Amino acid sequence: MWIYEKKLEYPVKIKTPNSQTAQIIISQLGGPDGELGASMRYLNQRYSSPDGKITGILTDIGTEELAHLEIVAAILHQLTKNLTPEQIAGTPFATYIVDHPVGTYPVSASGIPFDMKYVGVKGDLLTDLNEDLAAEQKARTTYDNILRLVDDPDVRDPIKFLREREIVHYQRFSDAIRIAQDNLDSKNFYAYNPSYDKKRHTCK
Amino acid sequence: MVDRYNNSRGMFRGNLGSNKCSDGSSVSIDCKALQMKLKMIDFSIIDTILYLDAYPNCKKALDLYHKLKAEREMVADAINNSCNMPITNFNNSSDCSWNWVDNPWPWDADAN
Repeated sequence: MWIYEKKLEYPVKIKTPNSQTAQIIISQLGGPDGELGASMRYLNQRYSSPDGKITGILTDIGTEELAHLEIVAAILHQLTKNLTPEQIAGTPFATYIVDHPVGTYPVSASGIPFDMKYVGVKGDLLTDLNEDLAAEQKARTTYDNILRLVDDPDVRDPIKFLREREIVHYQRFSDAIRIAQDNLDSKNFYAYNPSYDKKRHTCK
Repeated sequence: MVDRYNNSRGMFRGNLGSNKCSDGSSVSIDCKALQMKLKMIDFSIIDTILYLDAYPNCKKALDLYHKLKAEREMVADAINNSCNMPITNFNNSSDCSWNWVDNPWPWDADAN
C-alpha cells in the first residue's frame, strides 16, 4: 500500500504562465512516454518478477514515477493558472482549454488522451526489462525535446531534474537486466523465455 | 461493554464505524500477527483520516487519530526491531543487508 507525502520530490515555482509551454509539457503527463505510463508500466510489471531485487527496483522506480507525475502536473498547473483569454486564443493549447480549462487531464502534446496501449506488461522478466530500458530512453528523448523548445528557466530547472532521473532509472534497469541474465541457465545463450517463472531465485 | 468498533472488525467490514473506538489488545511476538495488527491499525487510521479531511475541527476524531498514531508507532517499532520485514524503504533498520528486496512481497500468498 501507499501513503502520500505532502511534498514534491523536486520544487516547482513558475512565475509566468504560458499556454504554449503547457501544451508541450503536458505530453509528460499523458503522452506515449509520459510519467503516467511509466508508473503504470513498472507497477504492473512487478507482480510477475521472480527476483526480489528486480521486484524492488520496479516497485521503487514505479513509485518515484508517481512523484514525477505530480511534478509534471505541478508545472502544468502553474503554467495554466491565471491565463487570460488573450493568452489562450490563437495558441495550440486553446483546444485543450475548451475541454478541460485549468484541469490537468492526461493527454499527449498532440492531444490524444492517455492510453495503456503505450505500456507493455508481458510477465516475462527479460521482455519487460527490455521494454523498460527503451521506455526510459524514450522519456529522456522527450525531455530533451522539451528542453529544446522551452526557454523559461523556471520550467527548465525541474525538467532537467526529471531528465536526469530517466538516466539513473536506465542505469538501474541495466543492473536489473544483468541480475536477470546472471540467473539464467548457463546453456541459455540467447537470453529469452527462460522458464524463469517456474522457480524463485535466492540471492547468491 | 462489547466494543463494536475494534480495528479487526472495522477492516473486514471496510468501515471502522462512527464511534471510532479501537481496542488496545496486547502486542504479539509473532511477526505475521504483528503485521496483521499493523494492517488493522493502519486501516483505522486511513478511515479516521478520511473523516477528518471532511471534518477537520472534530475533536473526538482528532483524539482518536492521535491514539491510533501512538498505537501504530508501537507496533511499527516492534516490527522494525524484531522482524526481518521492513515496512517502508525509508525506515529500514537492518544494518547487515538491504532486506527490503527479500521475498515475499505483499501480493505473495506467503506474505499474508
